[in-house]
Amino acid sequence: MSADNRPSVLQRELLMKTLQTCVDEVFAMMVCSFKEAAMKSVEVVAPRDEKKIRFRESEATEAVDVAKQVSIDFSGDASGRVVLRCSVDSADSIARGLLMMDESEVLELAAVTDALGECANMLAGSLKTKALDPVGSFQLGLPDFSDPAPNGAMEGALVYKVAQGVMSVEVWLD
Amino acid sequence: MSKILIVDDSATMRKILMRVIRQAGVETEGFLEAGNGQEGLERLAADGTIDLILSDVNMPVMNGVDFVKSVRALASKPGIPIVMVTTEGGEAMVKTAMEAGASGYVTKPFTPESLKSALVGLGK
Repeated sequence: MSADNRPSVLQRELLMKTLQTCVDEVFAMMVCSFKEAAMKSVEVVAPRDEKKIRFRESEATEAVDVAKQVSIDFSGDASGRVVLRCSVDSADSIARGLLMMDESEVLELAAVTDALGECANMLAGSLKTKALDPVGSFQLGLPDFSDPAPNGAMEGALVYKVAQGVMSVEVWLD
Repeated sequence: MSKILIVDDSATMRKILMRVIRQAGVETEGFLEAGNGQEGLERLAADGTIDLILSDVNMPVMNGVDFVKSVRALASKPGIPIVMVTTEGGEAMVKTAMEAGASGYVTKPFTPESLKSALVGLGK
């Protein structure tokens, strides 16, 4: 975390609360198959594991392998990225939800990747509109699937059980 | 009837938009897709029946604002409606897009109703 890099009004608590609103809106409006019961916020377990999403549920700490990661950079008065990490099952569920495909339909890997990119794009765009634009000037980048370890320091993370899988939505600052 | 051109670098979003437009009952002969503004211009040049464009803003090769400016510079497509459908919801970007010549603006995530409302406002 870089205190010098962060606009003074870009406070962590507000940023993460806004991110939660963004996740709720994107999934409620666009990921059509998700009912409230199918998506549940769970407690993040620190420290972050590059290869796994660690969380706590019902007193038990669990860890699920990361299958897909996509990040959207933002730059301007502060720079960083929004990172979406998914287990195999959550990646599949999110893609099927966005594309309104049921379990019987064949879903290509490329379609899953593209769907997660669009999901991350909407999350980053919403966060920019609600939390970044009001305090400064920012630009968004395109989805990046290549970097296994985001640059910078993690500002915060939200973890959700999604259908049979798990996803993590994170904000990093350079 | 005529066609709708959807310009977005995400195949997922292009499919979502086609589905929502069909469900909204907008009359169209079909859709054409492009992955960026440059491809959008090529589709537009190749098919004279396009009478509505939906375009993202952040795209590789040619972004949505430059695409709108390029379309508005074409003598062959005067007044063709262009609706921006983008995650960029800030006032500054809306102003930039509208000044470039966009006819409407829908922010992602959107509801089917909000997209339909934008199209109805253009007489679709």
